Amino acid sequence: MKKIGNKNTPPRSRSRRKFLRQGVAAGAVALSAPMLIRPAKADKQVLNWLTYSGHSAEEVIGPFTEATGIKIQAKEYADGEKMLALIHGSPAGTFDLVTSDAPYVELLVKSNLLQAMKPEDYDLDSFFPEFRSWEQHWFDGKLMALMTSWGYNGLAYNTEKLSAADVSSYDVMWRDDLKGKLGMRDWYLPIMGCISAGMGHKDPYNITNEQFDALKKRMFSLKPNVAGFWNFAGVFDSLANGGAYVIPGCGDWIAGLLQRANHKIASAVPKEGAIMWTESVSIVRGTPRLEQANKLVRYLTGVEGQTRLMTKSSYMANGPSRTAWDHLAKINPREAEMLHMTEKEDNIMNVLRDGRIIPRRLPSNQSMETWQEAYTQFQNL
Amino acid sequence: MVVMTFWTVRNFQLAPDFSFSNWVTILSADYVWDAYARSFLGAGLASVLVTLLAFPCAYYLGLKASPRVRLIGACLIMAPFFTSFLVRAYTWRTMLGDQGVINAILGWFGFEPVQMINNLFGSIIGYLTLVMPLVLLLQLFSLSAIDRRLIEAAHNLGCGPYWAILRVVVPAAKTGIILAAAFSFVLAFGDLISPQVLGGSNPPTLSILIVDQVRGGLQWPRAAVIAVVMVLTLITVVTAAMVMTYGGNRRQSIRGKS
Amino acid sequence: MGLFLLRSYVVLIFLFIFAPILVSFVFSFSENRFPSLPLTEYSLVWYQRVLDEPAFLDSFKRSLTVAGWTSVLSTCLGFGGAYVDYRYRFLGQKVYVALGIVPPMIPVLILGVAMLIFLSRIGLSGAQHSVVIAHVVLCTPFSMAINRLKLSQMDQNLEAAAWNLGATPWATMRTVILPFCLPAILASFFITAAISLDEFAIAWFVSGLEETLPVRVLNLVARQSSPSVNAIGSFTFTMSLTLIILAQLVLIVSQRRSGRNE
Repeated sequence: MKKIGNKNTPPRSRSRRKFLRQGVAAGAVALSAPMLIRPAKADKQVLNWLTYSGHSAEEVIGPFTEATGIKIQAKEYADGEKMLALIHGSPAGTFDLVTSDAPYVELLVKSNLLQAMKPEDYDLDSFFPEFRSWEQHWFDGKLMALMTSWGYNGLAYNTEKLSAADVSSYDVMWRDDLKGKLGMRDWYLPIMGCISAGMGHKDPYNITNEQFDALKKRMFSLKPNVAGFWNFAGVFDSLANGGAYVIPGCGDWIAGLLQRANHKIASAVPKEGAIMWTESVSIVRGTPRLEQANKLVRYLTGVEGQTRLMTKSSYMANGPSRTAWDHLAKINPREAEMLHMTEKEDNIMNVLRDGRIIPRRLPSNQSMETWQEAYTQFQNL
Repeated sequence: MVVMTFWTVRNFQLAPDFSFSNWVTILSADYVWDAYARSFLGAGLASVLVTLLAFPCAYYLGLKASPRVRLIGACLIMAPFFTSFLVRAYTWRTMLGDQGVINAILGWFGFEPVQMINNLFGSIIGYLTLVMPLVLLLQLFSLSAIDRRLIEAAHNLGCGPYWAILRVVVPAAKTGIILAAAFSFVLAFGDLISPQVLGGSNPPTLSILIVDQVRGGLQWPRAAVIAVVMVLTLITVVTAAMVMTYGGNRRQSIRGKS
Repeated sequence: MGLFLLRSYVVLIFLFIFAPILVSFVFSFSENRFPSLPLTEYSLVWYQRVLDEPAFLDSFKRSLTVAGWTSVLSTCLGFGGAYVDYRYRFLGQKVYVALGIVPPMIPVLILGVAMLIFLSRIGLSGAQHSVVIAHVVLCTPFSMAINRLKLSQMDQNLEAAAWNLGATPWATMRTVILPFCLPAILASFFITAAISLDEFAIAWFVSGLEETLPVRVLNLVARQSSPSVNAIGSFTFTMSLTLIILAQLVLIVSQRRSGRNE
């Protein structure tokens, strides 16, 4: 027994100090833990790449690492806005390359985050002529990004419930027998672009305020048919499991995957036109691994990288490279067919040249917020 | 730190500008208030349901089962913590879909397919999946701490089993039950996955609006306004729950003295 | 009869909890790219796919490390915070408690961006330890609430009695309070680890290039709809279940042994 006291409360300040000291000690242990903090990676053979989901999978970049010995450490994202927040919030030098959608390239250029690229460094001759000088990639005569993939957002549909003739126009979405079977994506830009195109606007994002009000009205009248607003996984699942028979804002990149798994799903470019999506790779300004970064850009725009990007398991894509187009038709005609990358009259390049695949832009006469707000009101109906 | 995070969020604007226009825009939009009501009712319904559904189960494990069964039960409750909620939500989506497992079973009995996702029902299933293990654990936790002699005494005094539960067990475990319900309200109110994946954002809740505000023109400040509204709501709800618990306790102790 | 009904009800609730886990387990063995009925051929392709990605094991180890540190730190902080709230009455106590419970209430998207900005300002962003810091902030309130609940069940006189018997505050803590709170501490340990193991939204922002497992799962499930996640889920679930069963066995064996000793 130690000395007997009659303390009813412990000395307050002491134990509080002790508590603090323990907290600090715990913090110190945590911060000095060798398991947790490793020296910053200055390794020349590791490239840090901020890109869309699925791009850094072994199936896409495996041959690159094998051939060059350069490892890819990727950060994958799904929403351009989160990507912007991340790249703005991270210390300079975190990333060497970034892949983004063309309108976001513009935002990245405005923030002075990208490095101008030299066209002669890449094999642009292998590209289709229209992609060699894609206007969304050039700023003040400087090349800021190179396209790696593209595709269209038209209508994806269940071929057992609807025919190709049915989906030749966006008007099918209003059909009474599709009540509860019309799906929507949770992103306003492609969906509203499709509806705007469906109203006959040749430049769907460049419309007057009156036209915008009419667009809102037309969109709101769709609501009784809408089953839900889904992200990618939801779109895939709904098409595969009969939750929706038709979804706007989708294309071969979704339907191809479902066809691979033997689902009766196809996609179409309606006569009013579909919205284009693009993915482009850029080099981040000030990267110490410029040479290695260029190697990756060359790989991604070359035959091997292009073919693998087109047929990757996360989502399929068309590509800008003519050489890769020919290569895919040779090695994998079935997938080339799914992507409409054939020599047939209705191949995807001809549709694009026809002006029926319209580049996606940001709304020009109204703010993005106004468009988003209309879409939120649509969801809320 | 918390204060700091808030400060940075509010100042994270593309054009550093300090105005109330964001507040006005958000607070005057009727869809925000619709979404608010929806989130509140959804989360409230979920926490009431989960409390009622979990209680008999926790009661059995905590007071009726043998220690061995209780231990196994507690471990089983913890098991789902180690699988991703995201994966569970997507699996529910496949199960509840028009051609899913549940509708297939209903089909055998000759029922028409029932729509169970892309609506409130789907969201609620999601919320329940999210909070059920935690609520079970917390309820079990406070029920097993009850002195069983209390219940025996109640029985000896001629209390029927249901009365004993209502008059003895529930008040004794009240703190835990309310705490668990408050937890589930907080989690369900802020949950994005259930209303999005299982509710089909149709119609949207506040957590979905936050994502959409950012999507539409990088409106982080407006998203932050919604976030502040949500936090204030939750603080109010939790404070109310705490007052309910501790206020009740005080009354009890007074009764004990008199 | 009543007991039988109650038992069936318990089974029903457990069925509800385990249904999605079991079904995803079944899907993980199905070859079909998009989980749907009827089930197609049995295949291990998704397990193969997961094991082929070197990043998977890295992120798995990282997640375990992060969850370990998070659970230890937030349980310590949570217990400390709960004890301070229980033992002392001080100015601004309500504010202290309120501040303590706020983080889980902030929508994760906002909290993630705020954390990213805050951590990169103090130069701690973009690595494993950033995730630990963010998760400790997120998890501590849960730990605090659980410990506070347990402390409020404790007889207030117990501590005073120990002091009267001459125990120093530290000895009291060690021999009286900590043993009493042990179940709560263990529970909070588990719950915080579980929250950390399943958190992806904040981790996506602050982890930089050192991705944790849930961030990978998010990429796979939400964007690619890949059944690999079913394989990952089944894998981690089986592993944790094995650990739990092992722990049970150890517990039962040691109980038997101590029973014999008595």
